[in-house]
Amino acid sequence: MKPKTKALALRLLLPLLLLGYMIADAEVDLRQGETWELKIMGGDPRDLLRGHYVRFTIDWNWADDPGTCDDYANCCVCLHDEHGDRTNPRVERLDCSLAHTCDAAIRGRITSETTFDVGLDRYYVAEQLALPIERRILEGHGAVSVVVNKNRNALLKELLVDGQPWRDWGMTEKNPRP
Amino acid sequence: MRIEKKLHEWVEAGLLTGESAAAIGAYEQTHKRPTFLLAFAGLGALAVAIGIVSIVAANWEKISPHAKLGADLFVGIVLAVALYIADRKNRGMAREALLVIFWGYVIASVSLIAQVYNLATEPYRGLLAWMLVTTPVMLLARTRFTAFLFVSGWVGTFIAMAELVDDYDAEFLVYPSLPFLLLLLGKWLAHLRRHDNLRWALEVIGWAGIVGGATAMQQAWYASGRPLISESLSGLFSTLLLTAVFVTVGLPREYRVAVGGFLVTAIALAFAPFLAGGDVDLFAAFGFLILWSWIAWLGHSLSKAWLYNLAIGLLALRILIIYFEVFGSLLSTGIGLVIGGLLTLVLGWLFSRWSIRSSTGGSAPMGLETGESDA
Repeated sequence: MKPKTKALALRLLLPLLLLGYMIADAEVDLRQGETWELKIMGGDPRDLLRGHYVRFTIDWNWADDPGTCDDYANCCVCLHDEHGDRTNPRVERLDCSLAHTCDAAIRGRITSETTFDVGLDRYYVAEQLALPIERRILEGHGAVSVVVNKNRNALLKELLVDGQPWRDWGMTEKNPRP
Repeated sequence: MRIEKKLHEWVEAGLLTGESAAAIGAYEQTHKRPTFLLAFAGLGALAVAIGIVSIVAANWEKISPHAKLGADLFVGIVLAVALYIADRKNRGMAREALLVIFWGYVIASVSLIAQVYNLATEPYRGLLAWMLVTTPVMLLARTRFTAFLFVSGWVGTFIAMAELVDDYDAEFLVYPSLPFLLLLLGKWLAHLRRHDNLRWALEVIGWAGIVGGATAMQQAWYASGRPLISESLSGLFSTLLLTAVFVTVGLPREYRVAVGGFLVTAIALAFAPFLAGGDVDLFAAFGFLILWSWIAWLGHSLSKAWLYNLAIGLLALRILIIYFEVFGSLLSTGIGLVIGGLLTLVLGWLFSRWSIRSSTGGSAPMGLETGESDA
């Protein structure tokens, strides 16, 4: 291949490689990480470019002593699986260097006394279901299942409404049992 | 049509012979760029790119996520192959259209992947990744339209990255620096004598940023607040002045005073409200008038009729607005409008006389109609 032809091919391949890498990275995380279920609360407006989604904040199940981080740049929320089902774990804040004592830990930052931001605050849903789902979340019936990878980052796996995946819940809403 | 009209005028004025005019006309006819066609192709390509983004936003519920991603990658491969063939076969218009579509496709795909996997990262990360991986292919652009889009993409990314800056004072390091950075990049490309269209786009957006930014900063006079005299602002002020000097050096001598003076004036006026602490409404009007008077002189010096006329028009409009702002009662406002209107007429007449006197050969430059003969 001539150098110029090779250069052109590489220029065109580079964006496709980025897209491939993004997909592969997300797929690996989803398959290899541990899945945890966290309760959520709240809702907010939508973003045109990203499609239709519901916004939420995680309703952490704080331990009596929520703990703190000495190193704000390296802060984690420590998950303790008290029931053995990785659901609504008891959590506390600590430096990520101490996270080996936890069942799992997620990187993030302290935003207030009772909140911890791990970068999970929105989920994409069908437009027609967004408002009903937001309502259910506000009523306290929302949860998310997240995958925590070995780098202690969390990836959203599913939005749960009334204990069901939101799509299944949506089907139930459209066709309610008599 | 315009060239034929001008050729006819020059023949009438004895500047050209009939044969020369015919030869020039024939040459221009054969070398005419299909401007409208290119513009339509560019707009069509942009519409397709935006359409792709909108389709992503629709969240296709009936198709599985993996099918969506697979179809998306397939489209990407088809676009890349088509672009490769168009470039190798030198199909100019198809090439440019595919380049814009491919560029839009990449950000649409990043959005799709973020949507499918619910990746909630900061917007600037997606934008930065998009612009970094598409820069090598976008440097192949051969039209100003594509170059303009590309530079706009980087400007948008830069502005999104400003969210990384928490400090209030430090924000001022980001926004005012951007247009000057664009001018510096343009100057570097001019020195390399490469990427002419990209250089044009950098300069257009850079200058628009300086003019727009300095004009908008005059609104800061209306805000009350403490003066922002800090080390970062002083450092920025000096850096921008140095940049202005660097941009001006290397310009033809006759333009240096006009361009350099404008840049210094724009920087000084932009910083003035923050050094003084704002809350002086009258200075908002004066700042605007000084800035745009200089732009009018710049238009005259560079023989840019459109710039000159635009500046005069905006000055006239601003003078009228001053009187709406400053006066209260109907009588006062009426008197103010009469004075403002007379001032506008005098301003226009003075500029017109000045431009006639300072032009060579006694004829009005830049197509200004005076109705007077200077022979």
